[in-house]
Amino acid sequence: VRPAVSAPEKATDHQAEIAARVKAIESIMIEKGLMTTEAVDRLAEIYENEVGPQLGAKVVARAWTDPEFKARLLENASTACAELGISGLQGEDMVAVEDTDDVHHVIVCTLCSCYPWPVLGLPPNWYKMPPYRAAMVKAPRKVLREEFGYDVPESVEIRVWDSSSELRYWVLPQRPAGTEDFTVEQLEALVTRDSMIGVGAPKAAA
Amino acid sequence: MIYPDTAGNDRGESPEHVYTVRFTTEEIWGAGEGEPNGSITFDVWEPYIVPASK
Repeated sequence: VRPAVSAPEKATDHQAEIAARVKAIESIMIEKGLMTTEAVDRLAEIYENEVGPQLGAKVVARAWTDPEFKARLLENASTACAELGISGLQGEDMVAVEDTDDVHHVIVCTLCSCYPWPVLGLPPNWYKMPPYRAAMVKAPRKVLREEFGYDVPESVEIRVWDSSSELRYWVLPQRPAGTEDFTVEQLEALVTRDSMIGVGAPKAAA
Repeated sequence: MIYPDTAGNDRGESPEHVYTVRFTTEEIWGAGEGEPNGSITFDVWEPYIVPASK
């Protein structure tokens, strides 16, 4: 009989199991010549170091400073990002949703872990975990406040976007107050990953 | 757009129209259950939509 384990231990077991299975599949594919270790390493390197929220931050800062670009971004995020050389896997059809004084957006994937890779890189672990996926659709205001320390005023609607295999949503946050004189580079530095997921605000002007 | 129900099961891409639909939290969870002033959007492939009544 297996001893009862607490939930976090179970999760760790489960992750170890998945890691072992991935490793086994990788070895078989390399053995059969379907994949090379160099290709695997290169892909991991790209998504660990080169593709990440710094790319999304570039897009957001551009949208904050260029109204015509912003209009194109909201019309078709994938083609607007491609103008800046940003595109790729898991972002063929991206939709940017704009925060306003009346509506705050937040993204989730209730089914698994769909996420806009080209602008945000790989999803954080909590994004892939059942607690976030379940609670964010049921009680987003509470999750934002209690788990992320992010208070959204009751007067602001919270709109939760459930991502799908084909459509990848992400948030265009509001430009922080007091940044009128900021350069695009200074603005980029204020844009956080969490603000593009919708679980946090951009950094405030220093 | 690619229909995941077939594409994920080796039965081809069979593209279908996709609608992004929005419900208020009250519509989804019932009155008094959901948080006020919230909504949820879902992507719905054409075959998922059936008439609620005839």
